[in-house]
Amino acid sequence: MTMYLMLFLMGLPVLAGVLLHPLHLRGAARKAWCIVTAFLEAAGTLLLLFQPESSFTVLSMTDTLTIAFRLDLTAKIFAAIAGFAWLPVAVFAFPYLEHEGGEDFFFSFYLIVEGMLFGMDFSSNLVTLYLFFELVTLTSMPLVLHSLEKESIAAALKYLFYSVGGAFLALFGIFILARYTDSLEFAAGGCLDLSAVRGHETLLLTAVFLAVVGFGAKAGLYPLHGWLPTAHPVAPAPASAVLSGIIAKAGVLAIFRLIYFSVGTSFLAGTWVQYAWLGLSLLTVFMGSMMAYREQVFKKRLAYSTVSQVSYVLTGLFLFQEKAVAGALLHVLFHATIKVCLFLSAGAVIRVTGKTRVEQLRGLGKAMPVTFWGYTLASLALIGIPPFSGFVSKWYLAEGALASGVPVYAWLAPVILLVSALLTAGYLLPITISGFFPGEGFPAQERNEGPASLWLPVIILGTATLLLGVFSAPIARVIMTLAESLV
Amino acid sequence: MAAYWMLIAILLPIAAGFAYLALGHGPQIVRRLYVMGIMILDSVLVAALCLYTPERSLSFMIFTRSLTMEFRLDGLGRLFAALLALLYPLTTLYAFSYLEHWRHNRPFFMFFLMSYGVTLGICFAGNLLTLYCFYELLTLATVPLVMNQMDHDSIRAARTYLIYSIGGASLAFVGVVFLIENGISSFELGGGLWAEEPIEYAVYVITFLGFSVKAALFPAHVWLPRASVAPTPVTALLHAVAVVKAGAFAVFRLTYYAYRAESLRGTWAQAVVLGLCAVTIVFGSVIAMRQIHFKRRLAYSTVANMSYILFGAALMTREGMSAGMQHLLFHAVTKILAFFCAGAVLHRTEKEYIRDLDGMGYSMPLTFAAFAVSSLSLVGIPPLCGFVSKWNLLNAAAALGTPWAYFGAAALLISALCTSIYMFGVCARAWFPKGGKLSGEKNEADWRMTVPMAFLALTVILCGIFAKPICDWTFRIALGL
Repeated sequence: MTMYLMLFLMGLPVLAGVLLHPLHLRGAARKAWCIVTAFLEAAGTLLLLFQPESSFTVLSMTDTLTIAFRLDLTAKIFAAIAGFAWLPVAVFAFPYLEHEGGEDFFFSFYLIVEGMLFGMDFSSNLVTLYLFFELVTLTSMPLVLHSLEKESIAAALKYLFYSVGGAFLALFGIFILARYTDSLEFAAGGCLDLSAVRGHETLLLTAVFLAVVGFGAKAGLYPLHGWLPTAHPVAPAPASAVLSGIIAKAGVLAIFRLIYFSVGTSFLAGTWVQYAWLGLSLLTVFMGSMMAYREQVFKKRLAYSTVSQVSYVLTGLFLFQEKAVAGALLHVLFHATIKVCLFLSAGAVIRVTGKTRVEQLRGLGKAMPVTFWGYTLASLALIGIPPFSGFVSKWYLAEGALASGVPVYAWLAPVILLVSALLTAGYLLPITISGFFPGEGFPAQERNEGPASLWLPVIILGTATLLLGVFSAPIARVIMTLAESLV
Repeated sequence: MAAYWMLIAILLPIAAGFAYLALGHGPQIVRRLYVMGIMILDSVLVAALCLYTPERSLSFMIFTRSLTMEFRLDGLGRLFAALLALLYPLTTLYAFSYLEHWRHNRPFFMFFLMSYGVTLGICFAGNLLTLYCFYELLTLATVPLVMNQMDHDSIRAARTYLIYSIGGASLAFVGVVFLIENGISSFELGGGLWAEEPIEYAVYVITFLGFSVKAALFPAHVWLPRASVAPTPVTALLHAVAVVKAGAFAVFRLTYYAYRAESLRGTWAQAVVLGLCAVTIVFGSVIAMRQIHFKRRLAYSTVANMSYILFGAALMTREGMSAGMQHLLFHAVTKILAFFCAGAVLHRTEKEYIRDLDGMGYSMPLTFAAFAVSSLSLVGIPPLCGFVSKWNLLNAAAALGTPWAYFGAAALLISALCTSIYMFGVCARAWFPKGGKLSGEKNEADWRMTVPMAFLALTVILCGIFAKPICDWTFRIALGL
């Protein structure tokens, strides 16, 4: 049953996406086709959350190269964000793309990527993970170049080459790792063969370091973060939403699986590799916030914000402390919700008014109050104001950092997270303030929110960022058990 | 089967090639049936030979006791022969369509037939002298194919090809003589020369360099991109499979059958050849990225990929040999597919440059779908076959564990990134044209092109998914079973 459900979740969107163009569906039929698929996926994901753990092998290419899937708590967390986010974004995407055209093209790939993401979430060994990492790249790249203009094609190719380059860096790490592990299958705590490692520690550490940097390309980790701010402004808003909110988390998943399920933290704790990772991730947190603060193009600002926020998650993972890990996984969930909401609100503004720069948004709160309320809720959550969801994950992260006992970083990490939170407030809230309070003498604007499918997903997700925070206790408890089993 | 069947398999296409001249003015359909009939007949014969391998070897023309011609079919020979038997009929079918309105297609099919026999001669060669003879013959049989168009460029390309190949063979000749003088007559896995003296290392390096001219090792790669002016069936089959792989095949013979590979492991001779392979891998991939001519880009990609195979061979371990052989097979099917696609485009639209390919995916969907499969395999995305051989190459390099092996492994990964850039760049252009010119007139190649392409694309996928028996087979060959 679980196996069929997993295959269904992976296969259905791929099938639906591939068939979309040949079926020549138009208008309402196409809309129904995509939304029903996304809905079935969301329903399937909900069902998946209550399934027992299981695993199965699909194909053995050679003895070591197998394509295998499994369902565990980690897979459930990451599958949940993909399964639940895809539906509102699909609803949003139809009015958004109405005037851009090329819906067949967009929705084919939009659906296929979902299947690939599920494949990655369910992968049970490093080879499968690598395969789906590449496939996610290849199938999400067309979302970026949707407009087929020169800049968007250049941006898509940049995304492609950063991600593929990162994947090869990771592959290098994987194949060296393969020599020192019993198998490439994931197991909590890793499956390193310590007697084989002896004498080759430096090589292995370097390899794992490079692999994480490589997988980090998708998560926007410095130094391979460059594609994010280029790709987001030119991609359609629904594509940016899933790229930032969900697909960037695929990089996080890969890093999480590699560190906690293949190598094991006991081997890495206290080595130069851990300190280097923490240095990179904290640098990314700070740099991303700074860049976002200075950026005037709305979607680009959000892209830099993603760079910064995903590295919160990575910082949590690199601390090797159970609270920090729990905080990181919570932030995966919460940031996904928040960032999808933010990008959708930016998209709604673009779709209704055509305005892309921050200073043009003055007074728009009057014209699009619901969208701006959704935006404001998500902003407060991202800054980390209690009782919003972002506060909970950041609290865990800070607490975990302080308790981790990693020299210097134990206090440096909370400081940087705090500074970054201030910057987050600095780059998100002015938009709300000038949107609702344009100042005296600003001409009043007609209320115009566009169709309900533009603002409804925004306000629903915005409310979700609040509710997830208020009712975070059961989620945090489940995630905490996972984190404790790993560290 | 009796051993003389090997001789028949070699002589049949060669004789048929000569006979084709006599037939040359007959109606086209007769000539085509004749060529296709010979190809299929010979491929069936080769398949039978691979399945029911003659136990004994066939010796003839015994000049002296150490100088004889000898044919014998062992695992490595079977591997290469099976590959040829698969690809020659497919390419012939493709060539019928490609050369439809070609002026010089009479000499083309004549030499094309003969090249089949000669390459089989290399597969079946049982000792160094025989290998060397057919190696030279292959050059002579394929030069007319390169200059088939008889214009300035192709004659120049043919001349370059001739000079490089003959030059390489004469370098190799040094080693052939040396080894025969040292009593290495027949090929035997693990039964070759145990190298100890500096001169023996030096001769190994010289011979390696000589044989690898055909495999386009830097700096002797120059002929290969130039030869891409030849008609596409030639570039596809000979310059991505038969000729270049014959170079790699000779290197396998030299390293594992004429020398004892263990004796070379870890010596400066190995360091030199591994280093050269690594340099070629990076060099070929980087130059390929910069090519704007479609076929020439693929040719540089072949330069890089041939050095993957040589790199595997030069690891001097069983794993390396087995991985090298896998890449020999998998690269052959992948790259011939890529060339078929480039040729189909050239044939239908005369577009040679990548910048002209905007939106072509919509007018030639099958061709570019096949090209996408080939790209994915060449880049090394699982579960396609290109990934399997690369993975095994990397593993073999890591198992050897010397600095040069790691250097080569790093080169392989840099090259993989470059490959993604130069292959996906083409795909992106074909499928996602700038300005969104999505609709184009359907202008697909005819069935004689699409059937081989579809078949090969399927082979690339299936070889990856069911790689295990092939990997086991190559490993058994490396063990000498």
